[in-house]
Amino acid sequence: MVSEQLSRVVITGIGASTPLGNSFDEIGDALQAGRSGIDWYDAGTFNRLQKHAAANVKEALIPTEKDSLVPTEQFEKSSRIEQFMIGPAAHALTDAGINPKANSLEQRKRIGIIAGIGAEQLKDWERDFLDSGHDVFEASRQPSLVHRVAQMLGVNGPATTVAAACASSGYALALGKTWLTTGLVDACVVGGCDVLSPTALAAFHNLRALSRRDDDPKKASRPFDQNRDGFVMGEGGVFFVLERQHAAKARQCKIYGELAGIGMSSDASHMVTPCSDPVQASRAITEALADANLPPAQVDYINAHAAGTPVGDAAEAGAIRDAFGAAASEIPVSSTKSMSGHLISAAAVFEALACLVAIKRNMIPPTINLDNPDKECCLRHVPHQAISSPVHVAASNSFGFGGSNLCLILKSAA
Amino acid sequence: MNHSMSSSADLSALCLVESYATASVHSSEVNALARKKHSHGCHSLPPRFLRHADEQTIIGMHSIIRALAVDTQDSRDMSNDAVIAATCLAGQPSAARTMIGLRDKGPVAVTPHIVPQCSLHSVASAASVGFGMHGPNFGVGGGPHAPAEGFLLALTLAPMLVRTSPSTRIWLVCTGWDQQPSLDTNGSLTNDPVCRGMTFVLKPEVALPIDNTLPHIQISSLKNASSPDILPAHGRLKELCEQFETGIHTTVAITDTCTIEISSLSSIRPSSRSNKAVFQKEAA
Repeated sequence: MVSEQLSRVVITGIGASTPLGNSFDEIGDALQAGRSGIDWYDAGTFNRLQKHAAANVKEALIPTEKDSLVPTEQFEKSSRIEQFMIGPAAHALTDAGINPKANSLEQRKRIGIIAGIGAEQLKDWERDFLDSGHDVFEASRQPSLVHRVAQMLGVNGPATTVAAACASSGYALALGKTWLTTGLVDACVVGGCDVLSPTALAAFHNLRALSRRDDDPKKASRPFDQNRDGFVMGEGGVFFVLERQHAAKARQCKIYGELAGIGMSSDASHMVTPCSDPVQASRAITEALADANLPPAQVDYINAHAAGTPVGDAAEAGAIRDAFGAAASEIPVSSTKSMSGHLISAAAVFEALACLVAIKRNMIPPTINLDNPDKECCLRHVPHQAISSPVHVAASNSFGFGGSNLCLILKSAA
Repeated sequence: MNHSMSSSADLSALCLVESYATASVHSSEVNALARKKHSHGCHSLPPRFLRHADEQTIIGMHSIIRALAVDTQDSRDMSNDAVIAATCLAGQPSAARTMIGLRDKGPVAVTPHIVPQCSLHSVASAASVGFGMHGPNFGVGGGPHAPAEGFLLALTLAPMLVRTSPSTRIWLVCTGWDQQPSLDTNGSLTNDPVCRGMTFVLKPEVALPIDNTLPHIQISSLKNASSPDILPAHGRLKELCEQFETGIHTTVAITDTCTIEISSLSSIRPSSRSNKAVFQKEAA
């Protein structure tokens, strides 16, 4: 059995490069103010759609001198998706007070890294192709981004990429927690990143998954609203440093919160469409609560996956009602995708960050644009404006193509 | 500052191997394979399930069927099982054709299947949907380290499943090309590489010690993992499959001090005949 000392895992460092800002406080301010990061986006020459609503990162987080892990010139030469990993991962380590390069090799081997990235190679090939390259015709076996970044950062422990579509970075958190609880590592950099690209925008558009409200971008992302018509793509990168609680307390570092519970399941229903039967999504939530050893009524806030798709939001509302039972009508629910857009591979970790903001500020971020809640999505919504409310425990749902369901339970640091 | 190292590392994650199989097919034969009926016993893929699937998904599903065929259990219940798919550079031909279409005809030419069928999660999701597995499904790797990362994450998931769902099995599906496809600027293949798949059916265990004659995989901590007997983490799937065909104990490096041990597969070595045709063609 996993001992109590090993089993409790906390978040000690955060780095972020997102449409709502590049720091915990900046993102927190945007969420509290109900500010949208969605705007018009030019997807480049090959994309002939007139206008796109999308949530792009205006300025990627640059590793500062304080981070001292990646030289600025190296960062500037990196591709956008690399920047969305390097900056946040380096900053998260600095924020946690860990400088791998100042550690011994033995210590560096005890730091792991898990990145949730859904289609890294597709993005690399596309970037190269649009730059007149030929990588997609003659692909080379170069190491994945996570291995390249691990080397840059001086992280010598196990490194891997995981993907569960829009739940990818949540799986990174879940698996990173297990690396810690099994003693494989002493610290783990976990998170995810994704970039807007012409192919991805066109593919999601052609799937009819994106909102068509391109004329009014800030109103386009409308989770749970009866006039929702799809999600708005976003981009960015968010990385956390996870450590065992007793180790974090021993070195008296800042603790943002505890990753207290994990639940995972699959719909096994369809490669794209979420299952209308909530049983499997509900099971992921129930397993996460059991893993955290908490009854549903102790959850103070639910950050919904709700991306603004007609089928997905209603299915999730059903899963929440099913898993939380009577408590579902009492617990405030919001979708921060109404402000951030859908960060795809980075969505789950961004929303875990939003839960940590809620815990720190005792504040429930709103679902903006929720003018007419859909009767099929009957929950205790927080429309338009943030509310003050004590938050000790938050649940964050993530669901992905291919029927991946994930729920994370985050708790305030005891 | 320095972070303190754990003195209580517990690397006891372990899985028994209940079945494993390999499959391989030349690129030119993938479409025909996709059209075949994929079934064994009570398990079968829905008709036309693979019509939009990537090559690595097709070979991955085929290796699952082969693993079912040599399974010790006649009518295995897969409904609670988890699936992890470790793919290496999947989706390349589809990506090339999609990008040519985007360039020449604009976004209307981008197939909506590129996201669900050619992403890192695609093989795992296809297995979950196709065979009705309700446990976790996710992709891992994406690059040359994929098989090693797949074994590592199967052993990462194992302790969680032992705790929450002890009857659950993990289906680890590894796929990749022996050589990457080469395409001309019209998106047509100019070589005929072999696409390879390998499936392990793993039963998570925590209890140690186990009978070492039972086929199993486990994490091992070594002082020095750079021994010539240890396969590198970025080794090709073909080399790993060939090593397993010999039935010899296999060690794969994860880091300089951490390895995955794959032991005693000889008792369930089923698939040498299956690959004979491909190996003969390669030799020719």
